[in-house]
Amino acid sequence: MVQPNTVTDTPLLPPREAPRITGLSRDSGCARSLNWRCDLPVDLDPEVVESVLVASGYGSRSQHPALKVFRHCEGHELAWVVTTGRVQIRVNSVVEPPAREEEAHRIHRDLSDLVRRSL
Amino acid sequence: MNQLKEFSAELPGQDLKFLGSTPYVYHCHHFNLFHDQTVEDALGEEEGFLIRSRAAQSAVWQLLSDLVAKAGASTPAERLQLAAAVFPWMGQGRLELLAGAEGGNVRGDHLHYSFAWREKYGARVRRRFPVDAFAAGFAAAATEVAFSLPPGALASREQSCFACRQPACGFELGRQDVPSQAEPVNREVFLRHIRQPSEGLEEGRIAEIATGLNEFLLGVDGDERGLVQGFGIFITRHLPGYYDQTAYDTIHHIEKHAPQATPAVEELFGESGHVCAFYTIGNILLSPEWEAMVGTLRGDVEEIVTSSVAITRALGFGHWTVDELEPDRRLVMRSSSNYESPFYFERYGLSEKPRCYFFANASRAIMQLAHRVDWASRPELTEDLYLSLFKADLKWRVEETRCCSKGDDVCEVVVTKG
Repeated sequence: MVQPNTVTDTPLLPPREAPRITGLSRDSGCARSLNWRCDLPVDLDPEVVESVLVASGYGSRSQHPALKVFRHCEGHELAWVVTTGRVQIRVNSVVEPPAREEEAHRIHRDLSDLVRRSL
Repeated sequence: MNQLKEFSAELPGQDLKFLGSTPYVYHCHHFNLFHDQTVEDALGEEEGFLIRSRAAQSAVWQLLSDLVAKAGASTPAERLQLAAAVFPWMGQGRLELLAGAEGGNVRGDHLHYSFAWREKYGARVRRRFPVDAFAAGFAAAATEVAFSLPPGALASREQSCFACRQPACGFELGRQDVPSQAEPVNREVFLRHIRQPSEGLEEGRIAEIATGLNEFLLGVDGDERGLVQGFGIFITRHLPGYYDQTAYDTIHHIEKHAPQATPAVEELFGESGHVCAFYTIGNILLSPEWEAMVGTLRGDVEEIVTSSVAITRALGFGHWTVDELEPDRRLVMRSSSNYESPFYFERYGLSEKPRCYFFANASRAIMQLAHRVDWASRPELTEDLYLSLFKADLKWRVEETRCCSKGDDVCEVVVTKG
């Protein structure tokens, strides 16, 4: 007799993977350690990501369909190229240069959490 | 702020931008600091500050007089409010204008020059002389216009400066009554001096990119500090009247008092073109904004040269065209309009030699960037890379073969390998 599936059974579909955000690296920019880069998956829904970011203190600053620029109330910015997934993290320039890398890592961690939540 | 956007307009086909009747361009802090430093190196700290603040006062007086008339701002309070909005729109920071017709105090926060100076040099150099000559001139002109005083009625001194590790910037204004009325170099003047725009190589691509960048730039606003970030760099909407008057007054002073030093000073003002091309154009090419609007860079010579020219147009430098391009050999650029020769011709008359130091040397720098930078690897545009490209390994020569300031029908520069 065939038993019905229970919650302990192996799922029929593989589990949906959380979207992966790449690690942090330095990006082009005019001043010391202000601009950092990571990449988001290209299949994210921009509207969903935007709503999650806005709910977390970001304001949208760009109307361009291929480019989303968000400014956080703390002063840092994210520039996201929707078509390629590239994200430029712009640390607030009032942060002293020695503390900028750590600040970029903090923003990156927060962004990773927010993107996971956007699923 | 929306009112300022309404006052912002272009001259069709000439890639020049105006706020009201006054021309403006975009330049980043690397260029601004280098330009001011060149004036200071040539004239000394005191005289350099004076020349710069007076040039700012003159240019800003023209700008604000025109804007208050267009906006119908009739009372001192309305005029000061307008001036206080123009300053952050330009990306210059915030000014608290507290002075009256007899003078008074002005406070500055996050001023572009001192903030950028601390950012760029603060860890290595201890500065003792203030840097905010533009803000000093702006504060004096704003107060003069607010109280219907003629230009030059007030003098402005920077008493404390963030670049000198003081907590904020402070200015003291007082009466001086040194008339400095100069004819404005405005839209009407440009219309008299510019030539019929022509088409160069890859005109369609260049024009299309410039249009897209223009639309994007119009939407870029200052942040709460009054600083403008676009393409990942700090930019200003600045007055070419300030750059031109400070550069030409400095060069004329040297020509008169130390003629043997003239080539060195001209070379330095030319180098500001290298600084702009490397930092401003380079960072725009590598920015997420460029990737979204234009695409990922391949990095070949033709792509970098034509892209760079599109950027110069969007920044309001004028209608620059690529007339000949032979990779590894030669570039010929022309401009039917730029922000140097109309100013020179109007203010100083016919010149015996070409005067487009910025146009010529930015063209040379574009060739260097197109040939010596591996764009596909997305390099960091560091000071070390700048020095290796423009101090140790600059193989291009440039000559301005025609210049409207000496009566030619177009400005033309020829860049060759040498």
